[in-house]
Amino acid sequence: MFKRNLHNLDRLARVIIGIGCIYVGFVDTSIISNNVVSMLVGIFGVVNIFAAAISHCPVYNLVGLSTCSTKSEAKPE
Amino acid sequence: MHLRLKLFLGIVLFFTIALCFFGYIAYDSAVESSIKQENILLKDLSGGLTNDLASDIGTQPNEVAIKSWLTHFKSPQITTMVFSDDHQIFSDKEQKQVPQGVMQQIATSEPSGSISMQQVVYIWHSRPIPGTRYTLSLIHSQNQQDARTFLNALAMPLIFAALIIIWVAIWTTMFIAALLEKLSAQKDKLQHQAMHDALTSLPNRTLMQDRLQVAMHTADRQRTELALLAIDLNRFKEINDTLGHHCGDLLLIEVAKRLELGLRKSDSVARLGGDEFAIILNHVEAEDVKAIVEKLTRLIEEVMEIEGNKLFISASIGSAIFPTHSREMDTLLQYADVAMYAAKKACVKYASYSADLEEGSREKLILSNDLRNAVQAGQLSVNYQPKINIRTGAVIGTEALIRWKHPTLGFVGPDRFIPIAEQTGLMRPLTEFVLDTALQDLRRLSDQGYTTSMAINLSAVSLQDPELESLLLNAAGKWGAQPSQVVLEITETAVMDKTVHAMEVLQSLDKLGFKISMDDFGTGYSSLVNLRRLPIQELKVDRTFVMNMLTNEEDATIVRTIIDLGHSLGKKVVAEGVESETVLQALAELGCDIAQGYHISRPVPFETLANWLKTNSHHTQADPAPAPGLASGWPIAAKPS
Repeated sequence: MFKRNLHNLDRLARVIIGIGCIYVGFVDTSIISNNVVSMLVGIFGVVNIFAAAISHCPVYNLVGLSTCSTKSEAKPE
Repeated sequence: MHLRLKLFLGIVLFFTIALCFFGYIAYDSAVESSIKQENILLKDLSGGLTNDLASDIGTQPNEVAIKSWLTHFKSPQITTMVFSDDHQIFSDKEQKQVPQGVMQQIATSEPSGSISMQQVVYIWHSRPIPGTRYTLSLIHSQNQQDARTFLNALAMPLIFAALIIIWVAIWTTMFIAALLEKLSAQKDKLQHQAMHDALTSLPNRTLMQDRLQVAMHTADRQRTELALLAIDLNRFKEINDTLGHHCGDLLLIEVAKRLELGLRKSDSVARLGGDEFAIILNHVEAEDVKAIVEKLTRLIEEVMEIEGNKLFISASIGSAIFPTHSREMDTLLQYADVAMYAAKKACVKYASYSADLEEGSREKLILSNDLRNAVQAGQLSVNYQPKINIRTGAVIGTEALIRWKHPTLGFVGPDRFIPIAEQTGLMRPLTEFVLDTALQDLRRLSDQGYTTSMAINLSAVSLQDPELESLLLNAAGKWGAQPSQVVLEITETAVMDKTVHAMEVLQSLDKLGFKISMDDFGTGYSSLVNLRRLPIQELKVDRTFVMNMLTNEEDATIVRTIIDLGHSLGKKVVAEGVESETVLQALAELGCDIAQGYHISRPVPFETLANWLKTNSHHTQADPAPAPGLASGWPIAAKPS
C-alpha cells in the first residue's frame, strides 16, 4: 500500500524511540510532570511506532528521502 | 538536497539557540518568582511574629527577653535575627546557618531581599518590633541544590516540549524545502521546454536566435567571422511516410546526436522544426566552413540503424557568413535558407550564399505571392496546341497549356510557376482552373461540330490529391464532356516517383474512362514492368529527342526504340517538338502515330485555334490523306457544322 522508504535500522531506532516516548508520555507521566507535553510526547511515540510498522515515513515521502537500501529511491525525481 | 541540508542545519541551529535563550529566561524567571514567593511568606510570618513578640514582652523590651522569646520559635530553614537601631546584631548563637557577613548586610540593607553566597541563597524579611527599637529579621537560607530540584520539575516538560518543537520545525522546513525545490525544478523544466525542442532536446528557434544574436555581437566586437548553417534532410518525408513517424522521430534524434558530435563545444546546433536544423559556427573563416560541412555530411550520411532498418539519409546544407553576407540576424537566417534551398534544388550537398541565389529566390517569393491571386485576377489563361495523326493528317486532339501573364514580369512559363504551385499547395486551384477552361472550350468546339479530345497535364502533386477524381468528374459533368475525350498527361517522373500510389490513382482514372498519356517519355527511369502494368494509352516522346533526331544518331535511335516499344506494348506514340517537315516525314517513316509541335501549330488561344481549325478543316479523319506536311494546312477530325 505504501512505498517502503525506511531501512530496518531506521525502523529499529523508531521502535526504541517510540516505546520510550510512549512510556514517558502515557505510562510514567511523573517524568514530564506536564500533561499536555506528556500527551504530545506519547503521540510522537505512537507516530514513530506506526511508521516503523508500515516501513513508511510520510514526511520522508514528502521530502523525497529514503533510508531504504535502493539508492535510486533516495533522491527525489 | 543541498538546499535541504543547509536549511536543516540552519533550522537546528536557530531553534537550539532560541530554545537555550528561552530556557535561560524561564530559569531566571522561575528563580525570581520563587524568591518573591519566599519573601511574601517571610513577610506574613514576620508580621505575626513581631506582633506576638511585642504583646508578650510588652513592658520589658530588652535583648534578653526577646532572645528568650525567640527560642520558642524553631525552624530548620528559617533563622531569626534581631538587631537594634544602631545595627547591633544579637541572635541565637545556636543558629549558625547564616554567616555573620550576611547578617551584617541584612541589618544594614532593605527590609526585604535576597543574597546569594557560597551556593546558598539567603532570603529575608525584616520588620521592626512594635514598641521597641529592635527589628526582627527572618532569613530563609535555601541551598541551591533545593532550587535545582524545583527547576528539574520545570525542566523536563520544557526539554521535551522543545524537542517536539524542533522535530516539527525540522520537518516543516524540509517539507517547504522539498516544495520549493519541486517548484524550482518545474520552473526550470518549463524554461527548458520553452527554449528547447522536445524531441531532440536541442535548442529551438527562439534560443537559437538568442544565441545567434549573442554570437553576432561577440564576433562583431572581436572582429571575427561566424557562419550560420541551415540544414534540411533530404527525403525525410518519405522515411516518415513509409516507416512511420516513430522511425522518423528516432532518425531526427540520431541526426541531432551526430550533429552535436561533429561540432566544437563553442558551436551551437538547434532544431528549427520538422527536419530543419541550424548551426552557429563561432570564430570560423569562410574557407573553413566547407571542411566543417563536409565533416557534418559525412556524419549524417553514415548508415543509421533504426528499429532494424538500415537507413541512408543525406542533407542539404546552406551557409551564410556574418558579417560578409549580412550584419542583420533575420537576413542572415534568410540567406542561409536561400543557400540551403539552392543546394537542394541543384541536388548538391552544400551551397554557400551568394547574391545570385537570392535573386532566384526573391523571384520565387514574388511569384508564389502573386500566384495566389492570379486566378481571381484573370491573369491565367489556357492555350491549345493541336495534335495530328501522322498517317492521316487529321487533327485528333489538342493539348491545353496554362499561361500566366504577370502584371510586371510579363509572361511566366509553366516551368517557372508550376514547381512553386506544387510547393505552396496551389496546384488544386490551378488544375481546377485549367480543367474548367479547357473542358468549356472543348464544349464550344463540340458545339461548332468538331469532335476532338482535350489533353490536360497533371502534376505529381495532383496525383496525390484525394479530390482529383471528383475534380475531373465535376468538370466533365459541368461541360458535358465524355471522360474518353479527356486525355490526362502525366510525366514519367511523376508516375515513377510514387509508383505504387500512382498506379492506384491511374487505374481508378482509367476505370472512369479517362485516357492516360505518359508525358516526357525517355527522361525518367521507367520500370518496364510498370510500363506494362500502367493503364496508359499513349507514350509521348520527349521533345529533346525529337528535335535533334535528324542531327543526332543517338536521339534518332532513342525515338525509334520508343516507337517500337510503344507499339509492342500496344500503345500509341506521340512525338512532341516537331518543328520541321523533314522531322515529320522521318517520324512517319518510323511509324510514329501522332505528332505535335511548332511545325503544326504553336500553342494558341481558343479563338485562334477555332479559326485554325476552320481553315484546316478540309480533311476529315475518314479522309485518307497522303503523307502529311502539306503547306496548305492540316486536316481536321471533325466536319464543320
